[in-house]
Amino acid sequence: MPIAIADEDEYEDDDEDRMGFGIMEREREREHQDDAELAIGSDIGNMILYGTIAAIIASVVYTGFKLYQAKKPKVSKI
Amino acid sequence: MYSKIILGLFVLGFLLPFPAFADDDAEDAIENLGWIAVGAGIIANIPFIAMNKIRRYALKTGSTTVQIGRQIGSVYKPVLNFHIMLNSIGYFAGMTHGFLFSKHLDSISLSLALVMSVMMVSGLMLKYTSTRNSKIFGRLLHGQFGLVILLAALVILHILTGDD
Repeated sequence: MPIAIADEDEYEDDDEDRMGFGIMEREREREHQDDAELAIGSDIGNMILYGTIAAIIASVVYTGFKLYQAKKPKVSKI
Repeated sequence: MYSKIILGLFVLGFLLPFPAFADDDAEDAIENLGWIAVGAGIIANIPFIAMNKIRRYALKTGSTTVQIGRQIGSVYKPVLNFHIMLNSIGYFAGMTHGFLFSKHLDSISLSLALVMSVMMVSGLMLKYTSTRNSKIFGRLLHGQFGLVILLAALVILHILTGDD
């Protein structure tokens, strides 16, 4: 059975390295999380995309409706 | 005729996608390019919209302001051409930028591309269609306040999330 003998100093160095690595790793994870939140298919991403598509469709329909109304002859109320 | 083709090719030359090799030190340059694009968008649109509003208001109020409206009308064509030119360059540059970074495509970028395309298509309809209905349709759609606000909001969101 192999036995790893480590004195205190070595252990501290290792711990420091791990701590630094942890901060970097956490930062990277946070960045990935931010990206994932806006990625296509995510909840917020879908909301933004569907909202935009809905706004575009609404604009086109509203424009068509306004054009149709302008073309329709006005009926006199007599 | 030939001069127009040469001029067109010259302008197209600016749209060729040159790869930008930028290390960490050049991050400021990349940000500055983004702000130049935003500034160009403001210069291309705000004066044109303001000019149209003032001209319409001047013609509507009548009497003394009609003369001002007519004077603005005389510079309408060059300002319109400037608006079309700068926005077309912005559209194609934006789309090229989008294709080059398609690996990092997110919902905001895709939404921005969609709204930009709608504005571009309605602008083309307004400029190049001849029938009355399509012209009116293009004019109404191109000037939709909601779409303009949506476009501005998406540009701001794109800038805010661009750092990631």
